[in-house]
Amino acid sequence: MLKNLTFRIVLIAVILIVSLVSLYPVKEWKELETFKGFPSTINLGLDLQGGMHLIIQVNNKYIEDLAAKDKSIDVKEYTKDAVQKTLEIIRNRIDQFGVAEPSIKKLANDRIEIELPGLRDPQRARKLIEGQAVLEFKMVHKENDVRVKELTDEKGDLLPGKTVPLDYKLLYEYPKTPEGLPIMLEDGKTPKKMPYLISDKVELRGDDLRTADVNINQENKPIIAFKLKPNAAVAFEQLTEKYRERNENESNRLAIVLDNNVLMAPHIKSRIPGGEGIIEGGFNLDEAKNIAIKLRSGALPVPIDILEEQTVGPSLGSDSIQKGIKAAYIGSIGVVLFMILYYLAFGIIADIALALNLFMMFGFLAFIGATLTLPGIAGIALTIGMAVDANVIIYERIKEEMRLGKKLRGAIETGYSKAFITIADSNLTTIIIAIVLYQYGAGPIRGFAVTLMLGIICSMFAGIFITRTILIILLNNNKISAIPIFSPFAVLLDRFLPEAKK
Amino acid sequence: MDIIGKRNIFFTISAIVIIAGLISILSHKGLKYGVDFAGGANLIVKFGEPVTVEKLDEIRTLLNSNNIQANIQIFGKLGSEVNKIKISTASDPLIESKITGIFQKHFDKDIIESSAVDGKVAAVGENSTAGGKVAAAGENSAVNAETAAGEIPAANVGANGVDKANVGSVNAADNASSKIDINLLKSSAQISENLKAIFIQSAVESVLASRPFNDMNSLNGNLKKFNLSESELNAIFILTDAGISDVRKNINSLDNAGLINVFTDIFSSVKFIEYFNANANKAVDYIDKSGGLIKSVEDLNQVFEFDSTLFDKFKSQFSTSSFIVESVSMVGPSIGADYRKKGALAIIVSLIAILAYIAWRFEIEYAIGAVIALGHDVLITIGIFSMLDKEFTTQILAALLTLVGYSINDTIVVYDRIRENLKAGANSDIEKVMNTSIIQTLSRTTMTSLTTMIAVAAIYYFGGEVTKDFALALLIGIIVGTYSSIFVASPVVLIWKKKEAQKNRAVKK
Repeated sequence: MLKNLTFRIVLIAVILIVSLVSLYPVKEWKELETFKGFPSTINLGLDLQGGMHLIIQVNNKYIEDLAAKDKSIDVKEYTKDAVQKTLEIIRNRIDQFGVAEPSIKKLANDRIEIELPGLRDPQRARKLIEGQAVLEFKMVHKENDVRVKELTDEKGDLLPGKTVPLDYKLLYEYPKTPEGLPIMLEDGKTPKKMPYLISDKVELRGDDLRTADVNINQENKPIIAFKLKPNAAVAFEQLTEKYRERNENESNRLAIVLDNNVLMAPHIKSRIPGGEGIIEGGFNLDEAKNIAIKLRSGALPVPIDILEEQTVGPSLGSDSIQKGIKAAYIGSIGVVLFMILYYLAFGIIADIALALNLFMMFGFLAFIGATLTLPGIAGIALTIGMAVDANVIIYERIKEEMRLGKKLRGAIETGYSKAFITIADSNLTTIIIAIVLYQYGAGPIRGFAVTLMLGIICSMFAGIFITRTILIILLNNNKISAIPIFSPFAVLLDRFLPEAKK
Repeated sequence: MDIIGKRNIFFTISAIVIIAGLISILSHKGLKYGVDFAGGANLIVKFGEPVTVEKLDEIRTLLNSNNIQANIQIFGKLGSEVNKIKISTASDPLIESKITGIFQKHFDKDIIESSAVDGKVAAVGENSTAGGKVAAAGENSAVNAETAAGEIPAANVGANGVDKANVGSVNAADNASSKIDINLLKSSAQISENLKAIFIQSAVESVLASRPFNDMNSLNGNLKKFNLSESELNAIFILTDAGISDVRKNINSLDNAGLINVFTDIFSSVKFIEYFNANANKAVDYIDKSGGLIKSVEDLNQVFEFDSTLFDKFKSQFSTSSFIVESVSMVGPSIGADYRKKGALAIIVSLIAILAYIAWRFEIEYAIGAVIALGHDVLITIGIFSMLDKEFTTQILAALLTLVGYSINDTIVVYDRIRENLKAGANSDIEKVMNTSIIQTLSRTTMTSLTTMIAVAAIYYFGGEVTKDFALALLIGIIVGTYSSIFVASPVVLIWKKKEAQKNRAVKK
């Protein structure tokens, strides 16, 4: 018996110490202050610390269209490949954007999940991620100005009945104000656009760039300065030589097109060696930085769609933590008081187990590196309520045994052994549910499933093992012959319940 | 007390509630799905001032006139404290920018979008004219190639070039009507960048206003507020033209661009970057502590460590918006449909898993009784949610699954007792045994429900808006689940058993 007791105490001590060290690593124990704050070892979900969660998917229709044109494309293989490449490119873009601990994961159904914790500028991040970033250098039609006048109305749209010349497309430039805002048409809703008749032939593309950086020109406007790879630089030189405007009547313009939007279309005045140039698109600084990052990371093989987005501001997150913790505190105090009121000294034992249970739960959360989400906190608050369940089952059993005339010791023995199967059975089903939740839930719900599961395991350990150990210690002491369990409050409440005897 | 005997009364009660719920669901043409299931976008917008009914109407008209179909709700109870609204619209990746733009134009006329102003915060530095080959956008632009082949370009277009280029606000103050919104500019890096720009700008202005300096002391006095020590200044500046080997600059003769360059270098040193970052971090902390929305730039005066004249400069360039977008959630229609499927699957899979588990641990009749009781709980909870006109979201789904786990817990405690009592008295009537078992476990069942309800009620009342509906679903679920564990699960087992017995008898005859 004593040996058994020693084993019990050692096991509990080990688990509590592991929890403590997981929660507050020894190296942080410089000051007592450490223990006052929220442990840094608990990972907070995006909904608590603020940040951005995105689910994107490669555009399947685009791939199907490609496959319809080119029979050699296997849609499945192509998609798989595209997802992999997209993943890498997006990771590249985000790395350059500079977010602490981003997570980019492949999901089922060609989807990619992006999590950017602590992100404070969601609009910019969104602009960085979306957009294929296909950069192309293409020639503008020689008679662009005349043709465009014939083909389009004052808004820049193609006039009905007109067709664009073969191998040419109508692409647009969207001019901007000096502040980088779009220039609106008179209706104030649609931005102004300038049509260009642009050849389908791609002279140079994004792959040909060696570097792309943001710079500021003499007018204090952000621009993108690029350098071409050596062979592309040669091609560029040949191109500019070929199309150089040799007299005033000649018009040769090179359009720089990003995702089918014309950024600029300068005239080629002379041969350009060296393979360097700049792009001015009336960008503001953020935009220019975004485009430069995208150009450096390379173009996405396929356009992507944003399927889902969750953004939580940091203030809402911290507000949620505070409220969640407050709810957990109030819930705990309510449960603790209720247990003491109902089971007296046994209630206190259950409450000690409850406190250790919570401590172990947080310790485990830190130990396995799980993420605490807002539903997760709700899960913890809920476990507080359910955690005492094991004790309630046992105590009710003990009371019953005592009513049948058993002595305290005997009643405790029988109570624990009979209640154990019940507790195990009922908790196992809840674990099944938690597993299903984890399997089918997304994001924060998973966090909830994890805390629910941990809660059950810890509460079983605390509710059965720890309380039992405390009782053994108490009963080993010969001075204690009775531990009060029948509270007047309970007796009062039991009056309202039908008689359970017989 | 005879619970099993009065089973028909309890079945009737359950049936009435279930039917009422189903009628409600049908009359609402299905469940009212939240954005995560239906697809769409939700924005939570927080205002600095309380939102009144009039303001709500104003916002509605505003969005309508901008062609945004939105459902706007006050987030929380309408009262003195309420300053958040929830805007629900169709799924649109640009919705946040659109609504921010519309609100800014309407509520904060003197602010333009923070990112747009960034472009102005720029100075010409040595390294900032790029390319060497200048191309200008627009109609008459030209790609010029004056540099000969192979010439190394003057521009250093590395990452450092970017840093250097985007400091030194030269003309942001020219246009006093457009200020940067500090509430939107919450990233400490951005604030730090702007502080640096303000320092450079102020230092240049300060020098230009008091030149020429006759001795280093007067220069030192002039630049003291920038945290520059005498020795630092002596290392950088002299008062007359330097010899060729001297790297120091003549502060009295440098032109505007030269001054900007020098001060850009000074304020890009590690010491100053750390100083700006520390101040910016404090500002961000302060804004966060103020709930993400400060009412006046003046509030930051207590946060920043630097001289008040510098703070005045800061104040002249920044403003505070009257609102922030606190959270955005957007779900595309296709993924919403996916989540619905997954959700339904999750409930079905968990019911099957429970069916299998109980059939293994007890008997198949018990499993059927338990699953019917669980279906009963889920149906009633969904029905009541529909009657209360609450949205059905992934959180509610999680609550449903939790209540399934909770309710089965209660049911198993009763079943366990029945099994035990049956073993103890093998020949007793099953109906009586069931009744006794339910009553024996009654105090435990109510006790656990009470403690759990205490905890869930705490989440409901104190846990904040985000988890309120989740807690409500659980509260309803716990009551229904407790009810079904006592009054539904075991009676169903009994009916099933009796049917089996009849069949068996029929076979024997």
